[in-house]
Amino acid sequence: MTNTYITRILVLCLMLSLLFGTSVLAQDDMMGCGATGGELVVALNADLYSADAQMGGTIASVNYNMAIADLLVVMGAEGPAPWLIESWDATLDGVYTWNIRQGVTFHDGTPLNAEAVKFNIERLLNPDNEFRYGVYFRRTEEINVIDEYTLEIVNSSFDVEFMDRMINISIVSPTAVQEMGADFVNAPVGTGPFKFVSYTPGERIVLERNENYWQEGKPCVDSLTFRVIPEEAVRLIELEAGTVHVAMDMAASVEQARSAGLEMITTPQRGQQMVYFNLSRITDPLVRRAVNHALNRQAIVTNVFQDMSIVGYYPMPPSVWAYDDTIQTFPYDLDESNRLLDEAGWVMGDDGIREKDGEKLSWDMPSSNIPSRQQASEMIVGMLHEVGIQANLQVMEHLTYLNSVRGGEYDIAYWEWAGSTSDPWAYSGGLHSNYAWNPTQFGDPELDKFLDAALVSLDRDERKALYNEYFTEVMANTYLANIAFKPAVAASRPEVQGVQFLGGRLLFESTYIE
Amino acid sequence: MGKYILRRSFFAIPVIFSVVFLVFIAMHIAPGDPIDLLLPPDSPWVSDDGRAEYEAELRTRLGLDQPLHIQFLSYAGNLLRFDFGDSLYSKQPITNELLPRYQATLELTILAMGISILIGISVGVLSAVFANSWLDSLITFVALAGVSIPSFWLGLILMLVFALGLGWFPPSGRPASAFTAEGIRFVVLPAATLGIASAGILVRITRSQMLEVLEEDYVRTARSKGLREARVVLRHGLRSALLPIVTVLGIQFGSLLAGAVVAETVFAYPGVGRYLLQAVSNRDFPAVQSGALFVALTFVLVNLLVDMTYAFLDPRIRYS
Repeated sequence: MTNTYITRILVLCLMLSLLFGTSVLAQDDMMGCGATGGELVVALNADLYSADAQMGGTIASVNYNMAIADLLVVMGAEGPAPWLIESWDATLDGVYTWNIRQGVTFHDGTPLNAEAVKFNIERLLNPDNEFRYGVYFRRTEEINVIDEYTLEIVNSSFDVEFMDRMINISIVSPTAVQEMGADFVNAPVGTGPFKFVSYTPGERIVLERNENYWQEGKPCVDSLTFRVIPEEAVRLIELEAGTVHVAMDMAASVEQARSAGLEMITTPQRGQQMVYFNLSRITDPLVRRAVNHALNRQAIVTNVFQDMSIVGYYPMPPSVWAYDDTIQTFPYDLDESNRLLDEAGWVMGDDGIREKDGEKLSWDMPSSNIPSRQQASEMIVGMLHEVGIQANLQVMEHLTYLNSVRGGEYDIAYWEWAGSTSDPWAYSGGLHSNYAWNPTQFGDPELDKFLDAALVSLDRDERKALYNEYFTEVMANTYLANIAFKPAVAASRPEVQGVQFLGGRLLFESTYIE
Repeated sequence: MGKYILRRSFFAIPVIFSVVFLVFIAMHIAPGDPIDLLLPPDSPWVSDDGRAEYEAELRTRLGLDQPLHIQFLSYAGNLLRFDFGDSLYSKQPITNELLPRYQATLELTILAMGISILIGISVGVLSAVFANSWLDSLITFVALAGVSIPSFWLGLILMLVFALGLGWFPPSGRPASAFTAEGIRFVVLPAATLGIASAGILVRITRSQMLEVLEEDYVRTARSKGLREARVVLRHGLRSALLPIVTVLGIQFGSLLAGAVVAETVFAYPGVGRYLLQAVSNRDFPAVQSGALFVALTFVLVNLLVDMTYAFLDPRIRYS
């Protein structure tokens, strides 16, 4: 009797320990997959440029690229973080040494090594391919394979931007490219968590699980289908109907999505929302400062961006390491704005528009027809009118607007960009005399010096000090008016877990359906 | 008849040429540069001095640095050899991209046309037969609403009610051709969206034509012969009223083809309309030109068909 009793307890203990043991083991194996199997459907807001991940393209494309072909590095909180490049070194004369991750194979069995990465860069650089990311390697003079997993890139000069740009570079199988030639685009092969099955342009891309993915146990789902659904309202309906699990670009539907029981997934707020002045036309710093004081940034954030953005008074998001809260800024203050305009000699006219020497304070303001940008521009027009500035809003098709701003054919313009990099250099643009992007039509060699020096330094403290000096100068002259920083916003159904945002792009290897 | 078709086809050539020419000019005088989108999109802040050089090189490679007339001649020359060129973005032959989308749009347009004819003509006849009754007023009101409702809004409402609410149809997409068991469920809502708007116009035309015809002597004669009212209306009335209706149908087909862009966008339907819209915003010149050419060719063809239908509907019309 006692024996049987003891045996029973022992058996029970054994069973419990086995149960406990296997469950821990299973969890380790799955590395965060709360469940496995199932078909994940994700809605993109635009079609791919190409199924060939090296072609790059829109943010929609990049979500696909990351599923099929891993990137060299990914965007971490403080600059590029390891991915296919496990670690790297850079010297100030422009020599980069990349240590390539070991044990990674392409879907066709080709091993990933330094030679394969070299092949990919050469493919990007081949002018016949017309790949847009080739531009990032324009200063590359040599690509040397040091050993099986070490690659050396020799650039004509060093800058911080180079490694940052590698977050866009997907690596594809050299064997497949060589064997398939022009047909590669119809059956692309990468190292990513998912393998290519089919692509119906404008409609859907079907991928299946890569059994041999280098992150063991992942991905969690059996298949991943991207659907192209251009309208945000329709993506919301598909999510509610359960025909789509995750949808990108849902920033305008936050309230409806939440009330429908959907989950919102966001990145840190790094997308910049700001006002550019054409500095060759709006030359008086008092007037520009008055504009800074006239902008009710919180109202724009609340009404247009559903409180997803955070107000920012100078062009650096608080989540970037070089952020400095001691820089002088000019928040919303109508009295101060009016006082500055009076001081600048602009007298309020009978029609509510200020005048000076018979000339009205009236500006051309082009706006993109992308709805949120148009709404933000409209609000700014109203705010400027309150202090007696007339902004003549011209809503135009996006590319036309882009061209007007780039070419300096405007007085004032609302501007946005996605902020897909987290290094401070990306927020310093628009004012450098030699940059391709200089919508302010401005150039000051003294100011350029800060940026040039910060770009070629490896010392973070030194860089922070340089950006601090730069932005102190920019704000003292109010060369621009920052408004806010926005996140990327996606939505998912409640049963979907583990959707990851990496630098504004969605990653699905750890995503599972409960 | 054969001779007539040949002559009409000949007249189509200047029409097609004008379309090709006008679209080419319109695309090139519109501000905006395709190069902007051919370079890395995410941030235009590049400090790389090589960028300007790269831009220039790309422009030469794509032939965008040539004078406009040279660009046009080379494009037109390729067209004559049935070479539509490659898309500036995907680098894929445009024919490969366009043909599946063209099929999708044709399916959508034909089904929308079917819905439009079914509703438009039957309701129009009903409205004429019961002219000036409450039913007639109701139909006129609904038809007016049908014409006035923006198809974007109608599409979303249909989606909310029949996809999300009742779950009868999937909300959007086109996983397969409309003429397959799987695909037919996906095309119903977009086709209805397009069809309903165009049915409104057909109802009004049918009603007014029928009212006119029903006053004719031969209708009175038919009635006095003691024929059943249904036969009088359909056989003697409708057939004579059809001629102007068919003309309107031909034009309607064109506007359905053009209106498809809205339905295609709302219902995430991969058709020519959406392709063209995307190509225009990307300034993908060859893609826009070829897309417009396909649509124009279809329109010309449908109008030829309409003219040939006249002979069938009215034996007095002869082509020689």
